[in-house]
Amino acid sequence: MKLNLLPLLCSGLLCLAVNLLQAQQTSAFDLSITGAYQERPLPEILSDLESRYPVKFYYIPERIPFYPITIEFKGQPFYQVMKKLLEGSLLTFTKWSPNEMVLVPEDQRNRAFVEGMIKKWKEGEWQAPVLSSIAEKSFTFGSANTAPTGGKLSIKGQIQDDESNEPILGATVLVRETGQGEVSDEKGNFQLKLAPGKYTLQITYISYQSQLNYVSLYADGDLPVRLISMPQQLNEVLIKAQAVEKGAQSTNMGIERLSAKSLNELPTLMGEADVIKSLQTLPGVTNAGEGVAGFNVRGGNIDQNLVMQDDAPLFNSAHALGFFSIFNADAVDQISLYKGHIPAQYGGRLSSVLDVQLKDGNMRKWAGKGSIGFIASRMVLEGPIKKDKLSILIGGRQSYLGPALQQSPSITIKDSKAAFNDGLLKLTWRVNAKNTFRLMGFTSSDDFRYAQDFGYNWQNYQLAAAWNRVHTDRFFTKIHLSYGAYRAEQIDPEGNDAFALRNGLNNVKLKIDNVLSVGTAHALRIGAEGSQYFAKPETLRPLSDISVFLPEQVSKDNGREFALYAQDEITVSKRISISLGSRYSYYQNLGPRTVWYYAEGQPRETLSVRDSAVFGQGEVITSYGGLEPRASIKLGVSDNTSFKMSYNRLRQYIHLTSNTVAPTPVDVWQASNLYIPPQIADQYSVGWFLDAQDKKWETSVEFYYKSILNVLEYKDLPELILNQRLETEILAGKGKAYGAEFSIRKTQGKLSGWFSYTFARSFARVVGPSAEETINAGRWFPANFDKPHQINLISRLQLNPTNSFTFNFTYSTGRPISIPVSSYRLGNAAFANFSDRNQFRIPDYHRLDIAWTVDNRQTRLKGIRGSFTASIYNVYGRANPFSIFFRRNEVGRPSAYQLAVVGAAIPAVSYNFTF
Amino acid sequence: MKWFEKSLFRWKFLCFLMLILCGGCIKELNFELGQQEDLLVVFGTLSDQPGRHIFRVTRTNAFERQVDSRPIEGATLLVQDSKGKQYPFVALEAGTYLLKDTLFRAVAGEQYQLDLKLPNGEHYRSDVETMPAAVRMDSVYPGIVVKDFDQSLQIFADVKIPADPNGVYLRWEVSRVWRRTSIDFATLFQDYFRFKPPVVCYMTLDPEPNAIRLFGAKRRDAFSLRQQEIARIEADEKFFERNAFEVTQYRISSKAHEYWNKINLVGNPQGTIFDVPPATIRGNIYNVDKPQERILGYFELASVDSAYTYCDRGIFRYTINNPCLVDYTKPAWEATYGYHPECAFCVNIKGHSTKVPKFW
Repeated sequence: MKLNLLPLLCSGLLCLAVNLLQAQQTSAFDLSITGAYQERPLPEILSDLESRYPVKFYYIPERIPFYPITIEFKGQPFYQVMKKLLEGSLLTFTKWSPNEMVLVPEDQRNRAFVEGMIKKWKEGEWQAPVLSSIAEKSFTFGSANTAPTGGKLSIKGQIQDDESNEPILGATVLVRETGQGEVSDEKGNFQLKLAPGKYTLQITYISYQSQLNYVSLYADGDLPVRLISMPQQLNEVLIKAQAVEKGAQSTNMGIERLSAKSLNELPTLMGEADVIKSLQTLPGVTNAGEGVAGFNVRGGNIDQNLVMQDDAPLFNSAHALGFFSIFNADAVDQISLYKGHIPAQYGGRLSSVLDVQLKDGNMRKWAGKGSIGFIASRMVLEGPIKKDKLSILIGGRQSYLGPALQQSPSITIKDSKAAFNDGLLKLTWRVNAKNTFRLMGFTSSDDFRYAQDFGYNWQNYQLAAAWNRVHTDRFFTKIHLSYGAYRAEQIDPEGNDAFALRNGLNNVKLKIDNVLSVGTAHALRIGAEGSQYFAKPETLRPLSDISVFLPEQVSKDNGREFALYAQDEITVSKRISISLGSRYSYYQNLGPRTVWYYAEGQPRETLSVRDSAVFGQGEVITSYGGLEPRASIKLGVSDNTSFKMSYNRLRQYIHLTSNTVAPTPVDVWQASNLYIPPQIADQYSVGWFLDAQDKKWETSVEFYYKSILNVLEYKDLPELILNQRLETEILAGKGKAYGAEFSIRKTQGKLSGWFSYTFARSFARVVGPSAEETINAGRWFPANFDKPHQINLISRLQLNPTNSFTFNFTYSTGRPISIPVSSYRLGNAAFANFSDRNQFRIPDYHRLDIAWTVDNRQTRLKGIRGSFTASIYNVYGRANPFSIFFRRNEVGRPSAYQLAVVGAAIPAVSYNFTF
Repeated sequence: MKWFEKSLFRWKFLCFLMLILCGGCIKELNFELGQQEDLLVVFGTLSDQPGRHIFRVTRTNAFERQVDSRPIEGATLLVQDSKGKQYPFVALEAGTYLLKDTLFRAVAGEQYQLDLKLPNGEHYRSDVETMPAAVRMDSVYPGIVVKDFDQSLQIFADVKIPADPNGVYLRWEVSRVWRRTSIDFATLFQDYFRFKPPVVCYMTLDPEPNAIRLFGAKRRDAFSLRQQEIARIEADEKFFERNAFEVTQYRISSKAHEYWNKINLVGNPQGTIFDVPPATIRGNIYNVDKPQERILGYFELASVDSAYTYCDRGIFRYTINNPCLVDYTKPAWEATYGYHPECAFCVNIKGHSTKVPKFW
């Protein structure tokens, strides 16, 4: 009997439970709503309803309107409440389950989309917007009564930093109701075309408080936007900023932008945030290895990159031979790397333009930033000298390896030096709304010495002035004048070969850049640029009484470069935009100089000198010039997909002569002369860009082909230092490079980052009149930085607002080398005979880095806010070979050896602070 | 002075940076070498000293092999001066050819050219080279350099460089002879019947097999070259007894200096960022019919000077340990009464000679 009753009892209980549950699941449509809201945004009202009634709302957080709503309900049915709340918006609501309501735009009202949306809410990927960090403003242009029917209205504006009044480049303006977006240009300007109506314009930029502008648009209007900096929010990293420029909507291709605020979060060697090393996480950007100055773009040499700081060129951006770069990460505002389409306002280098813009000093209040690391500390202090008129920014960095060396038990190490520092001063004078002057001074210094054996020291100096003039809201002019100097010295302080060898380069640059907007379809840029290079003679002086050297001086080539350029950014339609431009550059090689003439048909060497001529100061020795057309087109296939093409011609008139694997500080910049013609490159690129899920995912594929004329190569084992006939060691050849860059980025969510694969080949070919002037029998051979395969994986996991992890994995094919193919004896000693140039490769390079950033926004110690970044560089301790070399040991057995500059995992901690 | 002679210092510099910055490393690597390239190698020096002028005619060998270059037999060599006088060679052994006139002395200012015919009919010539005038060494002497607790012996040369519009270029070779006196068991055991008087051995070695010591400056005036380091040898136990150093100085042409400089550079790579990419180094010999053919080696003309210097262990700052102490823990040494066999009887040392060198 008991057995029969048990199932019955269970069934009864189950029925009871189901009934109770059903009783509790009263449909939201049966609810009567009571509440009063005064100018509250919709998400806040929905959250309040959720807290008071058994109802849950699902919507697209980025599309929910934020305009203020004033409304009151007294026991009104749920259905009516929702209709009123959504009145005037583009959203409709529908019931998903009795208590789950879905708010979606009409065009996205389909089951698959709604299921995906709900899944994201339930998995926590989407959350209700946090409104407390968003500033809100309302604007009304015109009146609803006078609004034109049909057609579109224009709303434009300038986005500025609220404190410094600096225009903000790359800020995103999103119309929440339509999903339409725009990115501010370098003047902070944006423009949108919208039908009359009410809109919520959300303006966002990394590390700035987002802003909502509720716009009632019934006439064309100007919308001034001032964003407030949130210096603690370093976690909103570069990825969004990059996404803006790389997305399908941008006309440009091959442009990478980094925000300086993100630099501290990337895992770096010894914890030193570094601009150049960060660039190497991008597709198509590599270098020869750790401790090497500069970077290689798409297989090009390092001298084919124009590196500028506040538009002033730099000729050696390396600290500590290249372990670090000279840019102070805390003073940097924006980093742009142009490697595909290079706009006409830039020229003079073949591979890329790295434009590092420094911040202006804060116009409103004093503030500072800094970092304390293992080997160096840096700090930037900025503030108003006269509020809203004149600001100053002072920055500096100092290494402290010296005291560490003194702790060494080795007398040799104690007697050595390893120091670097840099200093920066920038004044910004906002004369009035239309005129701004900037003055920037920069110096960097490195001093390394190994006991009394050997040493290097080098210095950079920059002085730049700029005048920005806003003629009208459509016409801007920028005049830039800069002076730069680079000095390098190599010393050997003891013995009969004690010497000091100095060289350097002075540079003056004047540039006038005009930007003119013509209607809404044209943005014209017209300008002129002039640069002069004053090469300091190479000077040698003996450093000891017994030195065998006599003072010696070898003059180097001077040059003068002019350029005129014009470019038009044409918006043909929403989906088609074209960038057309051209640059005409003209170069003169100037005296004083002795020019040697060589016998026709003979190898160019000292023995074939037939005549010479002496050119006086400023006398023109030879000249070169030509057009450099630039073009780029974007064809939008859809709102999220575009196809882009570009063509560039570039000329390079100054070259770094270096016969070593990586450049040394004393390598000489050689201006083009009678025998060293300018290098000329033609680059063709095509790309396909796809954004998905509201730019959450961005994918791109870019293909490029580059041909180079007069590529600089060298005879075998050239003698480049103190050589008054350098042309006897230099060969002009042809180059070609081609490749493809695949990239996929996730720009939002807890896990963000990018994966890129680059296939890049770079070749050179030199056919001369003699065997000595021909390389590899005239065959194409891999260029020194030809690395066919490169993989980068950067991912960032934001665990919570305080903790984030960054992972960086990089892989690249080893660079080409020449290796011994046979041996022979001269007397008793055995020597190696080497292969043709660059016919083999060193083993592949790969490395994993991890960084953990703790950014406790609530922590504040006497006004100082800080974050810790702990990182491990080369986590699995791979000894990546920098080079392979071959030696015979004591018994004459030949062996291959590899040198790894970093052979272990390198942990580091840095503390970044802001006040 | 060629700047890449500084590679040693550059190497130290990078090591220093690596040490203080990141702890880099060098390790031996299994690396697949390239295919053998079969090139002709011709090398020899014609000097102003009478004696054996020996030239080698070989072919390159696989790099990973320890064997010598492959000799070429049956070649016909001769040297011709500017007056057309020819000096033939005779085959001495496989690939080795000796100038028949052993009293031949190259005359300063005279021009010479090497002519070579191989059995396969290929015809080679050297560039016309001019014999440089002699430059004598003033002195050679030892010195000590101490870095932390490492000490090395340096051999220096002082040379009076004469004024010469073509410049003066020098190359040195240093040969080290060290001595080992066998244990005097007769005295040790007071047993003059069983043990003979201890044998003294002299061993000759190249202290720096991978180094080529060169001097060359752009200056053309007369000056005194002082403290020119021509060898550096880390202190070892071979210095416990007297060492002698034979220094041979070659005055060579600027072209030969450039050649040796490149050989030095490629032959002693440091693997650093400062290394110049290696390449085949062409000498001054070419194929008459196929000028594109790559020929290795050099036809060198040099005026030669020799000097000697000596050192005892007292010259060192830190003590040179006696390598020949009794160690009974080594069973293998029981037969030699606890002494290392090479100490007990120096004739066990490979390459020993019991003949006292003439300069000792």
